[in-house]
Amino acid sequence: MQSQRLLLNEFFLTVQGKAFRQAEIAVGSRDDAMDIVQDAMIQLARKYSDKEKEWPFLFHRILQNRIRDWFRKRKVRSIFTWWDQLKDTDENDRIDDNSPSPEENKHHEDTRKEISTALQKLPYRQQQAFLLRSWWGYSVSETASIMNCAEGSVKTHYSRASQKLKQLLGESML
Amino acid sequence: MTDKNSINQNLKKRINQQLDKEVDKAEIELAEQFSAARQRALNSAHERRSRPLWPAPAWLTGAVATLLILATAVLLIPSRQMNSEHFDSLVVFIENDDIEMLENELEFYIWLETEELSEKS
Repeated sequence: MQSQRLLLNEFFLTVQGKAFRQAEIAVGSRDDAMDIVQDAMIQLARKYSDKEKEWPFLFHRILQNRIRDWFRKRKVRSIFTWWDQLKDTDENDRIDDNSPSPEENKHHEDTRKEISTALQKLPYRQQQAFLLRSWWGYSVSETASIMNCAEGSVKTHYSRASQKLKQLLGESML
Repeated sequence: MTDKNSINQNLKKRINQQLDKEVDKAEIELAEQFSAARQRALNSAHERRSRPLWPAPAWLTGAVATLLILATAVLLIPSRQMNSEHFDSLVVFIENDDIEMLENELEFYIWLETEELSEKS
């Protein structure tokens, strides 16, 4: 039991950073991204702690569901109140504000912002398909399982995301 | 086509490198929060294991309830059949008894009449 706990902790250590960044790009808020990652970890530990081989797939599936839940909740909130829109603006401002550090040069910071902005501009499905395929390195079929959609949809999302990113970043990054 | 692919690959590589740098930075900045999140998750796994058997899960409760209903139904239906069979036998028994009683009475009345006649004579 103790060894299982150690293995699970090790697994969380390997995925936590990337999962956090993926969620942050999707929802545009550090706090919410941390909550999403924590919820995904808790659900994995609670329900699937004995399915060690399936942890990566299950974790990504849960993470995707949590991000979708976040969008649903925000949609419901925004129906009832316009106040939420102001909050979103605050969150986006906060993301921009929290990155600059003295040791980073301006060029590096500009590139970081450019990439983040470009990824955030992508529609959600395209964005997640791109991150799962290109950054995490999952195959088309694995990505389709994680995103709960057809392989053809993954190919389309990924291709469109690549084209759009090339349009947005191509000139400055190449 | 190859140039186009290599441009795409180069772009993706740059994006991945940049994202990896951001992850490294976040791991340092948010180390405490990540640690707290992991601990909560690991503790919740422990909670699940140490959860008592009762209250039983819904499917188990449902299964037990269904079994009880089936058992009651099975036990009740034969008992009804037995009752009706018993009732039928009882009727037959009573009917038979009545006939016997009538036969006995008839014998009695015949005997009585015979006795009365013999006295008169």
